[in-house]
Amino acid sequence: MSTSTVIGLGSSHGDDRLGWAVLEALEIKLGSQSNIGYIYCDRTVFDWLAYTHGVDQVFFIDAVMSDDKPGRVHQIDLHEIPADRYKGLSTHGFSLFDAIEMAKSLDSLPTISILYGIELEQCQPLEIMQESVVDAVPICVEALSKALI
Amino acid sequence: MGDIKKTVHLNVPLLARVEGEGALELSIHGDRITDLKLNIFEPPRFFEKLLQGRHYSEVPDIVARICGICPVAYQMSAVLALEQLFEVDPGDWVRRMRRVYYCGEWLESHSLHVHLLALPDFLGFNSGPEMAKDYPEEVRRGLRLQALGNGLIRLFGARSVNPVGVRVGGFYKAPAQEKITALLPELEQGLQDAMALLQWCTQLQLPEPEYGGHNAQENAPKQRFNYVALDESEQYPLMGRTLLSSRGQQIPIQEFEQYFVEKQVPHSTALHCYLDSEPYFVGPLARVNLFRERLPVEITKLIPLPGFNSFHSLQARVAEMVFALQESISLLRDYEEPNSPYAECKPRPGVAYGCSEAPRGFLWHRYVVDKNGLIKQARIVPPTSQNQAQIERDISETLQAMGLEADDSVLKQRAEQVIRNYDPCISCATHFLKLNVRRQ
Repeated sequence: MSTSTVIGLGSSHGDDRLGWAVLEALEIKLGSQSNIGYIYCDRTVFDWLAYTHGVDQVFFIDAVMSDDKPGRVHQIDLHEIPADRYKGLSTHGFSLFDAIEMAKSLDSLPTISILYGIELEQCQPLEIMQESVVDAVPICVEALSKALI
Repeated sequence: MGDIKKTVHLNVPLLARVEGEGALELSIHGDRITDLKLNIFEPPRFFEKLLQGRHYSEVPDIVARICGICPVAYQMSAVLALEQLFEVDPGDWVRRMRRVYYCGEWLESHSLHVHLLALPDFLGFNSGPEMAKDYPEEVRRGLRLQALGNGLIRLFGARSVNPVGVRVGGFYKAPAQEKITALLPELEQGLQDAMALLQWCTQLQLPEPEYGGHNAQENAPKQRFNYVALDESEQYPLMGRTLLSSRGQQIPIQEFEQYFVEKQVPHSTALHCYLDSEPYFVGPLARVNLFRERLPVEITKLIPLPGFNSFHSLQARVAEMVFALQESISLLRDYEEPNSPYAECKPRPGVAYGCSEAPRGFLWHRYVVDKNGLIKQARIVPPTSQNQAQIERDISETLQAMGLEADDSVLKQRAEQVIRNYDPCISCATHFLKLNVRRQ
């Protein structure tokens, strides 16, 4: 049986909570399973590295922002992103992609490593999730549960 | 033919591997630096204004958001200030557990700096991930230590980013006994990791600039230093009420404004700070130099003390990582859940002063509070802004010592290394490397 780690990235504020919201809904849908680890990360940087070494696949859930339609659920193969493509995109100098590079260097990124990114409408410090994000959560959960089965 | 004096301008538009946005401009005429500016681009954060009109109970949650790396420091300086004014005694359990909470922040912040910002410099790599290819076990060890620090913060703060577990008088919740019991073996392993890291770091070849030049007198101090840290009665300092300077001054924290002067400079949104009209620095090297006798001998025998070279701050940080783990284990070994994790408090009007040792140096708070417990005025002086003037002086002295005839890329690299010695947290520094060098 393959082993998986699902990592929700974010915080308790507004749209930044979506990684945790997806994880909560996924745990309810799939129940507790010995081959799936659910990790709620409140720091992007490196805390999750201990949970990706030695598993068969890892899935991240986070907010993303591009010019795409709000609520779109992107699936990004993390092995296909060039090292410098998203350098410096973080408030503290270390982004998810810096951490991904670190994981690759440490041989801690499984062959199957996918980021499920939910497209935001805007990047504002709000206290509640935007409607487009709320609507995207079950879509993301459905996609993840198919990948995990 | 006479000497041709070169004019060089170096511009570092964006400093790499520091937290926040900064840049450096340098003008050299012949063999002298004629102008040096550390530019800070962070927009002012207006937290001091934001606190006005808020109830004192909201202050810990608000100030925790000033910095994502050192929220504990902001919370501790704030609650210490308010408790002093309200004459609240939080009790021994709160005092001990605050030290554990703070040790978590020192551990995660220092480990992040050492492994991802500083070590790549000294080992010849451009980044932490690049270094990890050649030093995987060392980097994994560093990330384990950082995660352990975050775990200590979460124990009391409920989460490591913008922790919410702190209140004036103590904590909202005490960790359950079984959590501490489960954590202790991890801390013991972490201590072994940290000691191994310290021993490894003492083998590193760190730059040893000849600050006095080749004619420097034997036994002359390596660098002009004035430094300051909090004194915490017989303990290695995390929190206290008296500042001690390397010149022997003992300054009660409520007299800070009589001795320390902040000045706005045109090229920086962070204020520059002076003691007796001179730059000074704060942080691990200041603490280790001033209070080395309060560190265990197994730490102090490994590092050169006192350190008169800002590059030694790397070893000072690692020494503090070892201390943080020893201190946490010592304080948690006989842990018992308290009857209450906080003391009740009633607001009083007046001026509140609080100070604690953030990973980067002492962080000073002052609040004016009314009879209803509302904040009328706030002033916050972070460590990074206090270091700004000294950073500029250090860069100037270090580059002069290295020789200004060096290639611009070499000057740039050394200047960036000097800045990183101080581990500036530029986002905090505004309460407020692109290196631009002009040679003539």
